[in-house]
Amino acid sequence: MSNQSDDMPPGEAIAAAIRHLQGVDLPAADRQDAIAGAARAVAAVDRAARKLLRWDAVARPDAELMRDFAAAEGADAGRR
Amino acid sequence: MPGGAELRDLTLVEAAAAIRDGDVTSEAVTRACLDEIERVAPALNCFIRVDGETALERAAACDRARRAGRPLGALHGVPLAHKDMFYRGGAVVSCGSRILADFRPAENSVLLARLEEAGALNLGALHMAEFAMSPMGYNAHLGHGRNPWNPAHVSGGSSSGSGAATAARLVFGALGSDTGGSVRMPAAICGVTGLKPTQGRLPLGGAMPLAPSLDCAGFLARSAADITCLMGAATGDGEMFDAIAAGRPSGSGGIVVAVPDLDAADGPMTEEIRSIVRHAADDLRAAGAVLRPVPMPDLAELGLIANVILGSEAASIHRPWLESRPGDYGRQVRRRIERGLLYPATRYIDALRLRGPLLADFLARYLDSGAAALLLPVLPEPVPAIEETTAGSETEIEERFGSFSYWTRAINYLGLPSLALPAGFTGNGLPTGIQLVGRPLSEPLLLRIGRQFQEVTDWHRRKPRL
Repeated sequence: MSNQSDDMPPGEAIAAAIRHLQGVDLPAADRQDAIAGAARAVAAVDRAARKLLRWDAVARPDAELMRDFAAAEGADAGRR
Repeated sequence: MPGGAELRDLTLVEAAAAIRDGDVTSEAVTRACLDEIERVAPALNCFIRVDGETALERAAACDRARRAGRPLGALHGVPLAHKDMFYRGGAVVSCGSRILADFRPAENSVLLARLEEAGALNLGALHMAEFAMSPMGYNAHLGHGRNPWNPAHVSGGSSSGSGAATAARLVFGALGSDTGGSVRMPAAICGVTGLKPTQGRLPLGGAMPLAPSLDCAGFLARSAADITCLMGAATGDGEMFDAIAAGRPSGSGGIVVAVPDLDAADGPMTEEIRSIVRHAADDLRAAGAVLRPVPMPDLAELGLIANVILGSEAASIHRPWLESRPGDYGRQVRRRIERGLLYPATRYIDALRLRGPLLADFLARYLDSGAAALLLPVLPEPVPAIEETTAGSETEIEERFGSFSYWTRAINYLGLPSLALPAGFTGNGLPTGIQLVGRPLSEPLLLRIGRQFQEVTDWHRRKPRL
């Protein structure tokens, strides 16, 4: 696959990788929009990560995160 | 005994009280709803299935229980119906799809079980966007949901049937789900009240997953008071919800609501919507709130980051079907889920890791120093006609979808609760709404503000002519 993809247009190469790794055929008509949309969203993650993400920050279960923030609010309210 | 129309015009709270007090029977209320469903639901395309016979049997049992003096739940004998993604043991739960057209789960969802424990009836399965994947209520297999205020317009999505059936007075309330705005958008579009709770506040066991890190079950009903009752039943904290949501602010200070600079250019918002949000801020002040100006939040980046989570998680769930049954998806839905196959796992994990710091930043900027809620619009523009939402290329349609959920999607990423309230009508005669975004687990307080807002406005009492 890698030898062939050097000569492929990017959309086709990515579709080949998706077929290989995910087992799904990305229809030709969808490829450019899919790549452009994914690239826009990934870029937003990268911008935020450069500003805010410490290397030792870990993803936490949502409910746990929300309880922590609510508890912090409660503690603040108690101080006020 | 009041006639069918009068019964259906009762709010959920009023209907529950009337049934509990023996002023009306559950059977009469249920029959009134079923008669109206038969008359108007086909034109609105809001029900996928009506379970009339079972509902009437259950209503009769509720009436017998009341006469026998048995303990009655908060929703005793009240007819509801729910988005077709909450499992009902033995019944088909299609999730608006062709792929699950024969799916019969073995057990009830936790939420349906809790509502039934509180005495609620279930009139059937409501229309939804295929796999909850459209903000407009579009469904390639079932056809469009249609708006009770004008059937040529969308009913919103993805809880399209929940919005339309509640607005048309076919049910007293409905469960929906909200992964990027799918409770708040149909609520605003159909002119009803909708609550997206804090991430994880309501249990999702036995409900279709779309993107579990963003998914929330929520309620659509006619008023904040009605939703208070539903949340009490769904959480088992009815007394707490009633006590806080019905309370009045103590002392001389009202509840503080942060109001963004509506003249700022950030974010899509037509002049008409801007004016309605301004009026809503005035109404909040009239209801006793203290308004605090804040900058307009930039939700664009948060919305893009939400896309990474939504896409990755949805693609993980759907990948086996994308591989084996790609032709059974509607084209728009398949295109949007496929995108998730392209996100690198590193960025998906980064998006989850960023959630804590971005939430802390958002709370500090907009909901700090005692502000209980942030006022935002739900929709960027007036409710579109159905034909407007299908015009143009696939790319243009998707861009429009992204813009349409601009004000809601980022709130799911942050996991915050948000209450959508009817706030007026645009020039095309269709409703629109505001949302009050709160701090984590502050639903009762949001409902209190909503109730006070609805004491000085009557948008939630308006009803479509059908």
